[in-house]
Amino acid sequence: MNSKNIILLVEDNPGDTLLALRALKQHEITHEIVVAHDGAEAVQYLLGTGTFMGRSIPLKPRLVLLDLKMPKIDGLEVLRRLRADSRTKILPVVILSTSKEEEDILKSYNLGANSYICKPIDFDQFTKAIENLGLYWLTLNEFCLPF
Amino acid sequence: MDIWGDDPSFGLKKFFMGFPSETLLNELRTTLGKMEIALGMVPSAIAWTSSLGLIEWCNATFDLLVAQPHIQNLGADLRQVLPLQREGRVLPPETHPVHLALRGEKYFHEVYSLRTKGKPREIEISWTQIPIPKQEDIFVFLILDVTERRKAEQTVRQAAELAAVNKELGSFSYSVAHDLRTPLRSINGFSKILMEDCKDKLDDRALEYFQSIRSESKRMGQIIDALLNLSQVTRAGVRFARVNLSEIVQEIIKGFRNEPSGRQVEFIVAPGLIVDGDSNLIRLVLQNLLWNAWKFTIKKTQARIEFGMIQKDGIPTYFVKDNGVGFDMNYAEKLFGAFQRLHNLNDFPGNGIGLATAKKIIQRHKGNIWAEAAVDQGATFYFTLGEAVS
Repeated sequence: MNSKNIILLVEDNPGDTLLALRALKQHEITHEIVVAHDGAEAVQYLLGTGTFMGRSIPLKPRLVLLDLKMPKIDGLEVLRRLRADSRTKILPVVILSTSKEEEDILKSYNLGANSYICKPIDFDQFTKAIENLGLYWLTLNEFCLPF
Repeated sequence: MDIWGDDPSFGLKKFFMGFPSETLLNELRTTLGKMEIALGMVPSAIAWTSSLGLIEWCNATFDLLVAQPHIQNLGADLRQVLPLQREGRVLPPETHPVHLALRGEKYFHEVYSLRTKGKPREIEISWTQIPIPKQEDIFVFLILDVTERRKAEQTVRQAAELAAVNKELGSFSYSVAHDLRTPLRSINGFSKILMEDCKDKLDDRALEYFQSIRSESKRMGQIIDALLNLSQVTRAGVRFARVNLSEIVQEIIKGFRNEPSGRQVEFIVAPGLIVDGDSNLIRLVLQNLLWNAWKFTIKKTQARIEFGMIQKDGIPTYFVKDNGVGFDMNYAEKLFGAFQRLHNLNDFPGNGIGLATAKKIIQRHKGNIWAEAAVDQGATFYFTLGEAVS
């Protein structure tokens, strides 16, 4: 599988997961979407530990959509671990959070988030945001694997 | 030192050999007098008692502390002069610190409440037992008034508790806001999905109902945001700097003009009005006032909104004036309460939090905000900063 065709969605809320998947599909984003249901799963997938251990090179997604508030390992901790590892240091990570708190936004950028999107409540605005996000990160933005 | 001696002949001998002269006695008296004055000036109350607990001497601080004349204290039982309480209850005689001292026990740092005829005080007592050769020991008591210190400690403790509660409240409203927004997004999103996916099975009425669900969930989202704003305004610190009100008003108006409303509104903005305040917070106030003016003039063909300053009792008073629907002054005091609305939601949308937020901000600037209006005669909102006008 071509890693360029994967989007990793890290989201614990089933409602938000379904809505995000729908919004992504609506805009003819043909990438395969892998869902990690919490921070621990995301770290396992991206850094090849736990269930994904032994995989020679973890499949690196083109883009990570990361929720902040999650059980076990939260989004900020996932981000911290990704940035600390040379294999995922430059992976594009877009925070997709409900929080508008300045503190969360600041912490995310300090930890090396590429972008921060606050999930709108209105679904039309939500799909619009996903559309813009896909357009920018999957089409306009030049992508490069770490090695 | 045995000056007089027990043996009369020995004493007599001393009389001839060197009985203390009048000068020496005078010197001793003066020194004792000086020491008594000096001891009266120390902040601690000092008393010494016999082995029975009867006061033999006390300093002036002691007399002040127990609110009793010196002459009455001398010879009195220290236990009775110091009626003590702990945790609101009268101390039983056997645990009275004077009693413990006379029994030869060591003192411990304990705070007692002293309840004399004077003001209630909080005190700490320490003591030393002094052996006198061939006589009974005497006990020196040192009593420290710690009322003020305790008060200060309590204030510090309360401030710390308040800060902790505030912090907790902050994270509480943060999680509430977060936890409420997520299900709202599902309600809104899945309504939309049903409207799309089940279009064939739904009639127009059902579609309309789903549309209502969507717009109401969106509105609740806005209310949550506004509430979060209000709680942030209450908690956040005010950062003072020079703020150009006229410029902020112009910026906000530009935002209105960019909206595709097709409305013709005449704006009059007094230039160069500069104040000291928190720029972000004051912008929120002006946004709320101007947004209200904009909203409540929507039915006017020739709407007019004015921002300016007048002097009221020599205090600069800023105002936002419109010629909109106004309101009945009988409800004026309700205006600034959270969730108070004077108009029907269908006619004029709003969350009922804007003016409550504005008032909080103005209060945090030690100013005042009020309104004057009449039905169909427009409304004027006034505010001051720094000095409150009654």
